[in-house]
Amino acid sequence: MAAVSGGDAQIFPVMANVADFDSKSGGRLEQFVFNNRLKVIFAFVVLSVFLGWHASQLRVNASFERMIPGSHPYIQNFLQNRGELKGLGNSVKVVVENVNGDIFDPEYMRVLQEVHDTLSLLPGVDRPWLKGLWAPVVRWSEVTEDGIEAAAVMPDGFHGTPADMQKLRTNINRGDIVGQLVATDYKSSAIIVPLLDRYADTGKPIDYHELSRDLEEKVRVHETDAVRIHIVGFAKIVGELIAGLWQVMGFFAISALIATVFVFLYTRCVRSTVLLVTIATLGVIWLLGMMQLLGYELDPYSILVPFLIFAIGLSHGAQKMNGIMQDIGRGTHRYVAARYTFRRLFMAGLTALLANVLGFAVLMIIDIPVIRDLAFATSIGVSILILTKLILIPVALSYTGVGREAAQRSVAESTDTLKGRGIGAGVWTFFDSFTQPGRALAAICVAAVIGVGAFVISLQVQIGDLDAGAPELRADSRYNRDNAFVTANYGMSSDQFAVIVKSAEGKCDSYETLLETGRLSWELEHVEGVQGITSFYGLAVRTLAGNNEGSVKWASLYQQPNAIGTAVQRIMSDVPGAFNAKCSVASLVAYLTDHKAATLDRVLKAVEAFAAEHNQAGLQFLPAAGSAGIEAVTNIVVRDANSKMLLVLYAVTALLCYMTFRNWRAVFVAVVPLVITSCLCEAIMVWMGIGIKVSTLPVIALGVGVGVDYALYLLNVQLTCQRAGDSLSQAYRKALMFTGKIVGLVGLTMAAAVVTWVWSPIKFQADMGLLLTFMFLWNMIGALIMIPALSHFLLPTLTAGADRATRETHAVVCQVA
Amino acid sequence: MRRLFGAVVQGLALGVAMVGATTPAAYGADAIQVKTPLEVAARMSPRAIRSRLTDVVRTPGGAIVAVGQRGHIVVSRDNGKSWQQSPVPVSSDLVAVQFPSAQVGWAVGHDGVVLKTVDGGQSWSVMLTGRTYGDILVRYYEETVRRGKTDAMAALDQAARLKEDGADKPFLGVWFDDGRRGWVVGAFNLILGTEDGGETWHPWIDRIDNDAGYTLFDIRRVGGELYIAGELGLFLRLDHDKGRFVRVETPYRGSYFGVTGDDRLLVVYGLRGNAFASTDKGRTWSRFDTGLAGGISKAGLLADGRLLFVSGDGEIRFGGGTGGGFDKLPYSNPMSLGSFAELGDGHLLVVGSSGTRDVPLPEM
Repeated sequence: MAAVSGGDAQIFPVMANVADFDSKSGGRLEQFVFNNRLKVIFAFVVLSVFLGWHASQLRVNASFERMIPGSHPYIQNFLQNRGELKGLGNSVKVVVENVNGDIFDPEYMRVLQEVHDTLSLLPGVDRPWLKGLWAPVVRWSEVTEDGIEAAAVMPDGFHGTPADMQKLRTNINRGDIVGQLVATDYKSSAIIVPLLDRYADTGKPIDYHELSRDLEEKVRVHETDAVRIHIVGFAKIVGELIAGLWQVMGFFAISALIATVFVFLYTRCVRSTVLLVTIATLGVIWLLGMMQLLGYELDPYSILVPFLIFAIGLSHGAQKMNGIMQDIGRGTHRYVAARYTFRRLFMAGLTALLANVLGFAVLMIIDIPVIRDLAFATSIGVSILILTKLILIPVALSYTGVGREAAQRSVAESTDTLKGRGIGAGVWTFFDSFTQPGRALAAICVAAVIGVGAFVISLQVQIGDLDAGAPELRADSRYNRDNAFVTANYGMSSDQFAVIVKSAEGKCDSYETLLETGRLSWELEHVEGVQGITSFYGLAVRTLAGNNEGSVKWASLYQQPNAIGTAVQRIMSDVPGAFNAKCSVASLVAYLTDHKAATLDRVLKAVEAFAAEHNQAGLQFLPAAGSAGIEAVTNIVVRDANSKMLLVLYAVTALLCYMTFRNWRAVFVAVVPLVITSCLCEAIMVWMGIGIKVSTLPVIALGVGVGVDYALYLLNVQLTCQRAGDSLSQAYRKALMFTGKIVGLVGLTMAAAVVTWVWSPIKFQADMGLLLTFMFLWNMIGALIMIPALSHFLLPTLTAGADRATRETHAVVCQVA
Repeated sequence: MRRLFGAVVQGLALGVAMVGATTPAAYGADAIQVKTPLEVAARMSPRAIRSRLTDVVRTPGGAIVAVGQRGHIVVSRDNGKSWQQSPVPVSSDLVAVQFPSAQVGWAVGHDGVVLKTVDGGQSWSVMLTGRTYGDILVRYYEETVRRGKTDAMAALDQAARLKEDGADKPFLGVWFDDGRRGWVVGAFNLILGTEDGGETWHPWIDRIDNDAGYTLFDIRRVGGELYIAGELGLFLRLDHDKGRFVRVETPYRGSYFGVTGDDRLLVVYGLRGNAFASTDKGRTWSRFDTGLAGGISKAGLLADGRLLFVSGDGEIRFGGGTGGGFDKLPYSNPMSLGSFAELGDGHLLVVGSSGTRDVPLPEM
């Protein structure tokens, strides 16, 4: 208490009685807010009820369209032709496996029939085109002296007798369906379930979540000890993602709990902890309500935002709480303490929150809807925090106050800290020691080594997804295990890169179109990573040979319109969806060994090179469709966005720091730790096998945004005190005491909270959680160590600023000491 | 600040949108311009020996030469251990190959392509294409009619039709007795012969008992006689006295894909595993029970006298010769088979839809 200087005490005198307080003191905003406390509280309550009701209407969904860079010309190609490319398949594949034997087993065939019948009755299934051993549309054909003989693969009156089985086996071989409907080892068979776009009865779009649940509850239940069921397909992935979202919400509850515990441990005050958590939750409710009002849905990306807002809100609230506790601890009345805090921290808090808003807003330069949504929602959320944290918390505290014991402990602790005593003192003395020459040099050397090392490693960072299977889900998820089974037993990989072949109407089957398609096919067969190709050309060649009595010498595309026409007729009935109704769009699909960025890049480059040479009015080869094709384009956008984002982000951050500090050396001190963190983050991604992708971009931006927050808090106080004449060590120690503790709390709280995402069933959320945890922690440590160390060399002394603003700020932040 | 920021964002977004923009194209009724396989040379490709190969021979010089899709011709001089692709001026699908000598060989295929090598298969030149045979046919029969042979009128009609259709007819079989004298046969009664190693060609469409214009699949000299196997039971022998191919009666009305044999045995084979043997130059026939369901792409006698069949649905069968059963010869990674050649080391090389397979031949 003795340390309080006369000048500061004049501005913020200890005032036990409200009556002594001049309610006309402070800024205009402060007067407005505190002199109308009840009205302010009422307004907040009304808004909360209104937004709360809207929040309850918010829909949860997973839209793939929003995860892809929709305005990229290649994605436009896909979106414009998607309706024409039914064959590219919105279908689900249900594979029924006989664990103990092959498919020629009466019990297996019975289960298969049950599954088939169940599937054909599911809403949303395009029943006539259901394909499987029990489907009448699955036929065999054979060349005879009189032409072509054909019948259903499932023999008439099949009863599972050995004779029936023998007949079925023959038909399967004649039907040429091994590798498509029957596994190459004959131990499983597949049912291909084409899906409608809309329900036949209601006309509403298919609800993938419901479909996915139906597949689990009505189809997967047919599993027995002897029969296993594997389900793969786009609709199933979406269903799993939505199911994952609900699970993730559970994790968020745990995260919130962890954050609450941290705040309690810090404040040791039930009253203020409950208040902080309630107001942080209120911020989330407001955000959800706003999102609903603005027409947003919660998707796997934006679901992170509410939680982030909760964590940021909690930490900023703690900052306010800190000030109020100190005042109350010194004997000031809670109302006066609240107003003092408002006065002290409104501008600093506003700057920090605006910095966050800006940091998130930068993400909007990335041309991927989910990231834009994420950026927008976070910006809104942080803006909401300005209201709830900077206004509601001080006002609410002016009513509730804090526990007296906790308040007194807080004062005692900070006094101890400043004097180098007490529990946390060791920690603060440790961080303070980096203002001294030896430690400062050591810290900078270590940081330089880490920074350079991280930079070198970060050069190897990959773009895109690196694991097999559906990249959205974990490699060991049920879906990806099913997918691995299907890929292993049915020849074709699930990484499909489709090229759209666009011709004049009625020309999709012309000799010229097919010839050029064949040439592209041959070109792509040479690209490393391409496993196989299916195309209208390939179908035509096979069918032409078939129509010529199966003679291998006729397996060629030859220029006879009649022959091609007859072949196309057969393709139309055998492979529905090979081309569109107007015969102007067909596709070529390259099956890839993996979806690593390098593989996708090679394929896309090959397609581009071919298109550049062969495209003409009337025949165009357009990338890209299929899971791998879309990922290839997304990778391009992401790679581009990554460098651009960092550039803009650092430019904005530096500018913001300059506006705050008015000193380029200080900007350097603030930004260097962030750059090291960014490099380290990429190095960790290399080490953990995480590629730069849609989900990691926001993490990097968030890291910089949160990091600069720490620097702003710390340096602001340090510079002010230095300008007032304090030595670097004194100034930094004050900064530590005043905001450093909160930096520590923020870092630990956020890290402890996001770390739970690592258990998310959605893989990219897990990756985000891991990286965010690292970013939050490292930014904290980096700021606390690097700022004093760099300051030692760059900001050893500062001439005392004589202007009024400096004096005022100095008084505000240094008076507590 | 906000405005400045917005402008930066917009500028960057624009930059993103312009990456890789494609020009909008009109999908009108314009005829599109595409190079035909005759105008594009075969690509030299390491995948040539792993993609569709339709025929293979062992040349009198001991080299193995295989032909396949997109103008691929691959040559092995070490029993199939290593292969070299030969440059070919066209990229048409090739379906048959034959070598009358170690150096001189012929390959034929789609788009009316006939290729010749004089250096054992290393380099190939185009002797005929679908662009040129039409003129040859029409000019020849116009000349014949002008010389007063009115019975050539029908042949002239056929020739005019073939020319009009363009380069769409494939040659499916080729046979040369020596460096000079040979025939090429193909779709819809397409047949030409040469006496000077391909410098000039003479149509034979009026010298063949094939008024219905059936497709000719294969031509081969067996036991001193020249035979043609064709569509819908068509089987012909060159009658030297008459100077024309005359019909030989056989017990089957389905298509024949080929003919093979030696001095004692004549074998004709085709659709649905059908194969028939004759020991009296086609006067009487007996049916083989090949056990095959698919069409037989190629049959041939091995050096030890056993008969071997490969089928379009991917089976290899071999057996003792006349009559008796045929055993299935399993091999890894089955594919649709086109042809085979016996390697010098007791192995068999089969070719098909996904390249080559080396299959050890069981001891006799």
